[in-house]
Amino acid sequence: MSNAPANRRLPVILCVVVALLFIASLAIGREPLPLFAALGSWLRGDDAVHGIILSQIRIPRALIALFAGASLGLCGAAMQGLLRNPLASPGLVGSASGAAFFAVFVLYFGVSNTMPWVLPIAAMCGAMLATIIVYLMAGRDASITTLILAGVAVNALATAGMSLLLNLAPSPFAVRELVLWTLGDITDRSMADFWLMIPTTIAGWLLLVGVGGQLDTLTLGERTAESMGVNPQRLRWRVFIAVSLAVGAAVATVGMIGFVGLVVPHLLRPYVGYQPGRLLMVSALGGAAMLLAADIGVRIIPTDTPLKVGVLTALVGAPFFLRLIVQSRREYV
Amino acid sequence: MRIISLWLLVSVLPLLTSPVVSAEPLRVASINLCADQLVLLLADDNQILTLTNLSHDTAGSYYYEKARNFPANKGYSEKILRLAPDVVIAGQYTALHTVKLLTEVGLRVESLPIANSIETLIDNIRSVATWVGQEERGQAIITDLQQRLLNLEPVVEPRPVAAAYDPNGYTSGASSLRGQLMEMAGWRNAATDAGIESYGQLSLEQIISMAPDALIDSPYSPGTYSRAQMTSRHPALLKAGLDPHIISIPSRMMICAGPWTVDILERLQEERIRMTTVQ
Repeated sequence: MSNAPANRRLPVILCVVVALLFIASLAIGREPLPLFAALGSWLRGDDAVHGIILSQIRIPRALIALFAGASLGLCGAAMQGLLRNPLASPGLVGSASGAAFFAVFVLYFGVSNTMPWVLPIAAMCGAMLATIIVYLMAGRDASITTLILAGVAVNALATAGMSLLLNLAPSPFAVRELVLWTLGDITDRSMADFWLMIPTTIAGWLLLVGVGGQLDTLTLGERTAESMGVNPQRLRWRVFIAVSLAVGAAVATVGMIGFVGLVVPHLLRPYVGYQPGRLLMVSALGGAAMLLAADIGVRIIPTDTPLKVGVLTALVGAPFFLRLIVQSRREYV
Repeated sequence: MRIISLWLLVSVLPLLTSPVVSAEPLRVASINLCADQLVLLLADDNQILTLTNLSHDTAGSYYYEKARNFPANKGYSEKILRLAPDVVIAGQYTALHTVKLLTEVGLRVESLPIANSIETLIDNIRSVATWVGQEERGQAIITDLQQRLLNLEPVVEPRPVAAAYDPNGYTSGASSLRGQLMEMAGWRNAATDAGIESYGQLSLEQIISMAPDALIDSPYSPGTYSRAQMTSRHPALLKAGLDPHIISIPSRMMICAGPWTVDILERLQEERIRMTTVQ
């Protein structure tokens, strides 16, 4: 309890960081935007150019980065807590690729033209299916290696399936969009996309409210947790469903942005006294901050064709991942 | 020596003169979509041995209906060889290996340059007309096109601004056929303002801040989904009031150039005149 003040300060600090990044994300772009003038024009509703750029392009983009990043960070923390495995994250255990596979199917084969709400539901089912397959293949108390291997297999299968679907899709432009799904991209989304992802995202978040205490108890071992009134079976399903809802919605909107759910809980764990329950909220904030920052990064780095946001998160995340593996070898061998 | 020349006289001379005498038509195979179009325009039906399979496609081929009367090829050399055409017409930059192979086995292969201006288009019509032996027909078409070009209305300043807008925000500058058409029809090209010479990308934000008076698109496969195609439906464009002024040119007119290119030009001019008189 000695670090209690630091704990209480951390969420506040993260909130401030997220708020600053959100504002920066509105102001920064390939076209300079006078933020106050744009804000004024938008509030007056006079449909001037700056107002439209702000309200129709930049705000949806920043909101989507905020919510998708928060979902990824939160779900990473929840999965790591549930599986008591530092390498568990939506990207590694297949939830993200499963969601992307189903989202691609629904989008490119015209189902979502008539019924847009099918998209997040389908992505959620895909995430759920992939997660369950990995979980069943790896077994309940899987070692890190088994879990990762199962994840690799399911990821490979889902990515191959996605590639096949995009090749078969009626649109001639579909084939080139594989990279957009595997690396993730938030360019040119609209408020419609944002509203579509919100219900399932919030549903997933709400389902995780109150899970924190049980995850804390789970660190004592499944038996002990059970004796303390936690039903591990129910907890597992609750987390899987919540993760599928939130990750499904995020992936269907922005593609598979990797490493956010892996890196963020790790960075923040020491600051919350290694308690999975308290990690949840700060990881959500951290995830939002990381994705907002990465999305600002792709707009600042002057490349001819804009970078995909997943390129940046992977460049930061992959070395981190390697360090984790080295660490876990030391601990578990 | 005398025997040889005599033999030449007997065996080669009839060969040289026979096309004239028997009027055997020159038989053509095309392995390029744009060559297909000009062959369909200029050659007689009994001259056409095969066209590309793309020529049957409604979205990419202007004469797709007529093309469906002829057998399709996928550009494989074996099929072309079996047909033994008098001339094969290929694209300048496509199927280089096939072209090399066909030339090596002794076929006459002609390559058609990409028409990135009206001048190249007219040259192309003339070339194909020569290759298929229909010079007169070609000249008649060219004369007609040149007359229509002379009849264009003069450009009036200030010119309204238009942007060619393809999926993913791809656009054409002044040194492309589409850019030239816009210029000739009296539009100012937003791509030129953005510093784009031939092809480039305009971001949604650029489009909105330049606020062109019209967007020219040619949807290739309407009704299908890709993120690229969604850019032109972004609500920001609707909000910016660009929606009513989308000039849509069917993709089968845009992919290859032909006499219909002048139809596009006249259409763009008509739209420009309508816009400047309304305002």
